[in-house]
Amino acid sequence: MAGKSARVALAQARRLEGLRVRGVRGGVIAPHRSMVGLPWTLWRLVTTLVLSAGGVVLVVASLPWVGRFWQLIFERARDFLGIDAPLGDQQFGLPGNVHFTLPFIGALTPQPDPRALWIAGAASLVVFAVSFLLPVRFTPLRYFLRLLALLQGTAILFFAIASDPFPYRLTDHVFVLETAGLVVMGLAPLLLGFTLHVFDLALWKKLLLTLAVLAHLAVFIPLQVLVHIWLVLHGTALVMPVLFLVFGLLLDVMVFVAFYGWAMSWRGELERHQVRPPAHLGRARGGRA
Amino acid sequence: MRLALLIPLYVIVAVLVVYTIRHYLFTLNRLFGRHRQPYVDIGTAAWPRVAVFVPCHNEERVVAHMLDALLACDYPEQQLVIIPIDDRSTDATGRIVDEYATRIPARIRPLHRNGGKPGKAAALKEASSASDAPIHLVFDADYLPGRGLIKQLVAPFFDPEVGAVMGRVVPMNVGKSLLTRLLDLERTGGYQVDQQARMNLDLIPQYGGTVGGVRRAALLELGGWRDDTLAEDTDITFQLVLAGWEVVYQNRSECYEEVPETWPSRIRQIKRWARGHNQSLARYWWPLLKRPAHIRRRTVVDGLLLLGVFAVGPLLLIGWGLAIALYYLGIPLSAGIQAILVVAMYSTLGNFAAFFEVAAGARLDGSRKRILLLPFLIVGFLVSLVSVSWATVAQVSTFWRRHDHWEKTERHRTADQKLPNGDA
Repeated sequence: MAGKSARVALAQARRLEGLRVRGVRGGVIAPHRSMVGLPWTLWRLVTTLVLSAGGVVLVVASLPWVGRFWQLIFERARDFLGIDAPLGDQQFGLPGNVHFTLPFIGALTPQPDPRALWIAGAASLVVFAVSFLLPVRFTPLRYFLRLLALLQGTAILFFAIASDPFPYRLTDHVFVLETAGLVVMGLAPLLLGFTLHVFDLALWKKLLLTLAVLAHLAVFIPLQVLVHIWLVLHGTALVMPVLFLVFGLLLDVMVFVAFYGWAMSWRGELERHQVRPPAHLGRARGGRA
Repeated sequence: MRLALLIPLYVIVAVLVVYTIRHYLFTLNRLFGRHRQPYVDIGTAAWPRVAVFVPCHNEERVVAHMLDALLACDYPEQQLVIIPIDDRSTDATGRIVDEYATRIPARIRPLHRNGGKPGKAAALKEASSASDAPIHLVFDADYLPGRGLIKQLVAPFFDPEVGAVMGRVVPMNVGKSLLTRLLDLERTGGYQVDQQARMNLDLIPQYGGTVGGVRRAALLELGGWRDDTLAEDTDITFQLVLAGWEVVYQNRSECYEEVPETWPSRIRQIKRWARGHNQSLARYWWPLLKRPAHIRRRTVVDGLLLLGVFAVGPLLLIGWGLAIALYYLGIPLSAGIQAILVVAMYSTLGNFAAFFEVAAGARLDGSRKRILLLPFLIVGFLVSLVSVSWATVAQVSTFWRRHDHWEKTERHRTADQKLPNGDA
């Protein structure tokens, strides 16, 4: 008896809930934005878990192909960029019998001579001075240029006064960028899991975005590394700190953020299926309260 | 040498990790948690007397709009008094408010300050004695309240434990520049997500001083507004919490503001916020940590994190400095692949938390297209980081001089500008 009355009460509550959002002529009174939340569904929970786990598995399983693909890009780019150094690869193994190689270019790391230090110093000063000449509407750019100039200044200072040699070779730099890039790729599906897949986007959109991010990073990272190699070979180890600290991992993360922002701007399923009032009644009756 | 650099770096990273977790928790709570908006449905009541204070210093461009909007509110006329505080204005602000007072003397009672300590806190301290209304609301002069806003802000005060109420700030000049668009996104994250999550979790929603009010009895109990601070809002928030009063955030109570349209204006604003907030950090971290019996542990943690928000900027810069020094010493690579994994994981998960919060807030707002600007937030972040750090360093270096200079936020609106409909 008690169970029946509970069922009746539940049905009544659901009916009332339905009436609360019923507008004119079948329209829906959407809740105010201050009260909007995100309802969970079992389907979304399952797809979130599957997409996240599946994405990580995909990244790990595709590492051998990714490594080969990067090797291919390095081979082609070496000729294109006119880099006269041998191509090598480093082997890695992961639990689950996953083995892969990452390419590197076995070039010596050119060290800056005093002339290079003077040129870099003068260039940094020019950049620093230019930052003050830019209009105030470019304030972020002004700050960014100053940051770059200061960071480059630390590198110049190091090479000018340090008694120890610079602790990294070009191959170290490449290795770190590639490995960190792979970590970002591996984390991407997980991060998308609880920051994007929890939203009411269509499953195919979530899948598309995951694949797009991974594909983009898979192409972007080796190209980014090659640009770094080219710049270091032409600008000596003097440019390595700025490249590593500003244009390394941070750039990979910003690529991810850009994709994420794009996906978050897509229309959700709840919005798509929202029953709208006939157009002649206008938005006011069935739109947001 | 390396250890001496590593230990403080680890400490800084630990602090930043806590803030990262906080971002994620707040956002997930706002998305999936149960929303606490206990007072929003009150529409009919025996409305108490209310005094609305509008501090104005050279606000000729905007003050008339503000007064018109307040006069259009649906609060019972006989229960509402508007007190524009003309704080040493050198433009036409004083004349404008006097004209309004002449036309509607029963509802508008301006207060002119020709001397005394400058700044909003001092103006409020002086003006609050001008009214014995049990509820004191405060609006900035560039804000535009909707018709129902005063009722919405007063309703929570029917709960006798509530000492202060804060509404949501929504920029209305969003499309002016990249900066205004970025500030709109920041505000969305701050109010739609952060403040509401704090309210949901029964933590410390911050009374922001621009769209809200305080209970006069609570104010009197605390000795009134403090005039030795640049952030009287943060200050009163923590005084109230420590004294056992509730602070309530009303996400539904939207008020429309003009955000800075130029970078110099924004830099001045955020520097002032940083200095004021840091003053509160210095004042209240220890009383909060001592934890009066009525305050729960999680509230203390949230309060300390809230107080420390503007200290994170300089902390981050110090962290970057240490990381750069360690880079030159050769630490990360020599530590091997684990170090790369940790750094990469932190950079990804840590840096992304704020983007997630803002994107989630904008999506809840229904402003999907604005999220396309998400990567550009780093632009605003860089400027804020430098400005806040600069302000903090300047503040520490002038600590003993106790020199608090009030930097007014520039207004960009024109007096005859057509305004959007601000019905809330």
